Amino acid sequence: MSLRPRIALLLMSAAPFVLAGWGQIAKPAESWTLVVSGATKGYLAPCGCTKPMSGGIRRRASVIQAISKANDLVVELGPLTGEPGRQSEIKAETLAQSLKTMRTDVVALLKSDIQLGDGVLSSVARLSGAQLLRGTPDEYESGDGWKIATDLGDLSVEGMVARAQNFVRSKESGEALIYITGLGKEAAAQFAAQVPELDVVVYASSSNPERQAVQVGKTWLVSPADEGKFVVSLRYTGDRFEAPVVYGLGPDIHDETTVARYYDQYLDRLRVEKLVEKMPKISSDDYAGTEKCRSCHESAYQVWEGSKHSNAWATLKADQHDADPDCVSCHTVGIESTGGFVAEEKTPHLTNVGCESCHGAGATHIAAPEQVKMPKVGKDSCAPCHRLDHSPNFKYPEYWDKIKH
Amino acid sequence: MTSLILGILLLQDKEPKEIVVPSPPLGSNAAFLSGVKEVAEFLSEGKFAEATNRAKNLPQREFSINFEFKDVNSDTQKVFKEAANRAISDWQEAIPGMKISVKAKPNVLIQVVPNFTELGSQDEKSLALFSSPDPQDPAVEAVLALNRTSRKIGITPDGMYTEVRYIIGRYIGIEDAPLPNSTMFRVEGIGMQPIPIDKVSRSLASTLIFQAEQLRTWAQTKTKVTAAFPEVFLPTREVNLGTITQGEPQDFQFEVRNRGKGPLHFAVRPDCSCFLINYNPVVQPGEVGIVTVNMNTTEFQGHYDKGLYVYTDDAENPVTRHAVKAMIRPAYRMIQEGAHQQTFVMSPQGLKINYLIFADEELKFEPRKVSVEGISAVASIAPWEGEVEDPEWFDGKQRRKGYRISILASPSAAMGRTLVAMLVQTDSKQFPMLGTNFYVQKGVAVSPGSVFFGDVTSELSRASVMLETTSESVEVKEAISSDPRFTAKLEKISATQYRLTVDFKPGTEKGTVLTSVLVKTTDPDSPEINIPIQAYVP
Repeated sequence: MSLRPRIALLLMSAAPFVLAGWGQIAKPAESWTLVVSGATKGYLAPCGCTKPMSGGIRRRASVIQAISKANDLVVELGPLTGEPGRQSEIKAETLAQSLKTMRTDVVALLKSDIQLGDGVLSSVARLSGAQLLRGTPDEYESGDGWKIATDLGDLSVEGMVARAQNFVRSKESGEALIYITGLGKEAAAQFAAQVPELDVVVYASSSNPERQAVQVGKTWLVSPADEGKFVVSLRYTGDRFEAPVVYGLGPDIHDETTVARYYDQYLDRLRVEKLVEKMPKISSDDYAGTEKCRSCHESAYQVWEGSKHSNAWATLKADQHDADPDCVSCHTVGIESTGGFVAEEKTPHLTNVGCESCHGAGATHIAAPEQVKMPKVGKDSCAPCHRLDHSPNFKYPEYWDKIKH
Repeated sequence: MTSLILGILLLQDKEPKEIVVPSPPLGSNAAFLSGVKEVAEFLSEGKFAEATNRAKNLPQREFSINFEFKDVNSDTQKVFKEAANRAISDWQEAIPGMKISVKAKPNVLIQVVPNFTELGSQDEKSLALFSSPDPQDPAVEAVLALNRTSRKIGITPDGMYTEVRYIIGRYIGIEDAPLPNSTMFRVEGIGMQPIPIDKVSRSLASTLIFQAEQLRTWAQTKTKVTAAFPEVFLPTREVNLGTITQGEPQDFQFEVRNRGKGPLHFAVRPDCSCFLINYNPVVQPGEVGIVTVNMNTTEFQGHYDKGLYVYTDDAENPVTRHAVKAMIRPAYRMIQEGAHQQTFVMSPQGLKINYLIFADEELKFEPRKVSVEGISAVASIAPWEGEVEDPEWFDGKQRRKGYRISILASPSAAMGRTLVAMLVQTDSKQFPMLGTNFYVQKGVAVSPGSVFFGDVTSELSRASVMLETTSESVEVKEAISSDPRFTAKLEKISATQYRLTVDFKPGTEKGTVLTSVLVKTTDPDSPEINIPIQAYVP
């Protein structure tokens, strides 16, 4: 078929939907959309010092506000945060505030979320206005035309099938059945094959969403991946879900202003509570600071001074993340040690990525250079900070060239 | 870039004995690859008029664009044209010598409609692209919906800009990028904010235009060339490694066969840094290329599903995803002995906590040293054997062999709930440090650590925290706020749990509010607790 007739047909097929003007389109009254995102794992902002990166609650709120309307079902997947601790409590509350802006109806918790404790979860429920599902048997949340069941990822496929029996029996006429599991795609596919009554199974995944939509029978299998990098939506038209649409939260998405303000408040809270100073210390090595290395290693110092490593603290401050424990360890020296970075006011000589960031603590070497030798280090010393999710463009030979000494 | 250099070398050769059409760069799209193939075949057969004709729809350094609007009001048309002009300017700046003009009979035609669905489908689309080899047609015709997706969301001017920029990239011959942060990364959705044209797209575009120009020159100068093209065949598109153990290196291979007549160029790009890939990027006709993959599974447990993207210069298969799947069993398990507890209550005599480290079969490393951070404690390691059920893997009770770590904590913990980290150093290169967290509670614990209101936009706001005592005999007696804007109320909700509810009447003052509420208890360890209050009055 030549180009012209093909396009004409394509436009004709759209004719029933086409009304004059932009944004004046009638919507079928019974349709609503399931919007799924999350598995935030504490990544409130796009992770990383190399920009641009994907994800973040500020962009996510923009997309969800743009694609959802009042009677839609917006679902957030756990885990909400990463490792336990005070920062995770603050993250959970900030995320919860943002979920309200995203009009979230349901939060499907996972085991690590339950471990945040009743107090934090109560705060999350209040701030988000959403219903928290704890993955317990026969705990369903339902709304206008939908019903959701969840698990914590602690069931086998057989266990999920057994749990889903009551869920399927509870279905009322016209309801779409959505099951959210903490297990992965393979398990979700096996499960969906055994419970064909389900309309959607949302599974846990750390892989980017596939461009090809996956269906087992009539059941859609979807996942928004993890770390809050994608949003998936499926429109329900009264008797079925249409194919899912995936939204990547790339740098082309603007920040939603209310959530951007919540994020600023989050950074304020970290600063007020001085969480960087309270970071756990797992060693007692003594760090001297880069200036101390200079007297014997002037040429290496010159290379360092001209590198981005020497400006790492200023970069972090400009980004307002200098009170964020997630970021500070890769922009300072020896924060994991009682003899390392504490705070800019207390240990200004240990700001930036310094000699000891790669070579290890040097105070004993400086005290007795001949007796205590510094170890030779290689690319393994870059790995803790230049990880794929933080530094996706990292290539050892190219980066080494920038700091070769 | 290799093709570019090769092309320059070929042009400089004044009397070439045989000109072989250089392979298009990896990352070219199917329309470009098939265009190059067809033009080269015409040239090789001496059909120079046909070659000239066909080459017209390959990308040009100077080309034209136009827009047709259907049922779009004049205001929106104006906004769209402004956005499109930004996209045009950006491409012109990115590629030296590029000139894009608006003409009635364009190389790129964009039809702008309110919305559309594809033939035979009810699912609405936001963009459809058609490439045509016929020089009477535009090389690329796009249908672009202003109301995107099933939600019919109106596209923003920035969204229009990114879409036009993408359409131009497709005309130039660039394949979609598999990951974000590229001009050519696109999923069905909405793009709102412009980013600069990325380096890879820029470099690829220059190469593709150069190559198209080269073919046009050969057609005009009636230069006969040798044309031979590859045809990729991937016998497998998935590797399922079955059940494997975390940390054990996994080596596997897959074949990239060339069933065509010209050399096949390919590149394998992974979506995970856990792959180390080796291959010869050129496969001669009839030959088989072997891609050797070393997969590092140290950071993964459970179902594993990653991808290797195979980019080729075969017009039929510019990019194919090769899936890699596995079920990864953990290399070790470190779990509490007995019932799992997240929080341990400190007793006057201190605390004893045991952890077990074991593997499915034999543990492949030895724990050497244990340190406990957050509380004052000593820890020891001893060999252990016994029956245990792993709560996260559904194997039931199994006989295991490994190590027991015993922690003895002194009663001198900080008040409230303290996060404790247990770190185990091992002799393993892959797992040199194992870690886990738990809480130790002394006195009354507050969760979360502050009364957080968030944004206070009403005349009266309420927030709460939970207080947990260490025993039923301890009481939380009273909560007092010295700030008249806040009133505090205590409610006992179980034998050891209390809810502290704080009401806030903000008044007229705006900004951040930081204060505290004082709680009195009968616990001798924590008779008084100051709980911070945080609120924001916008």
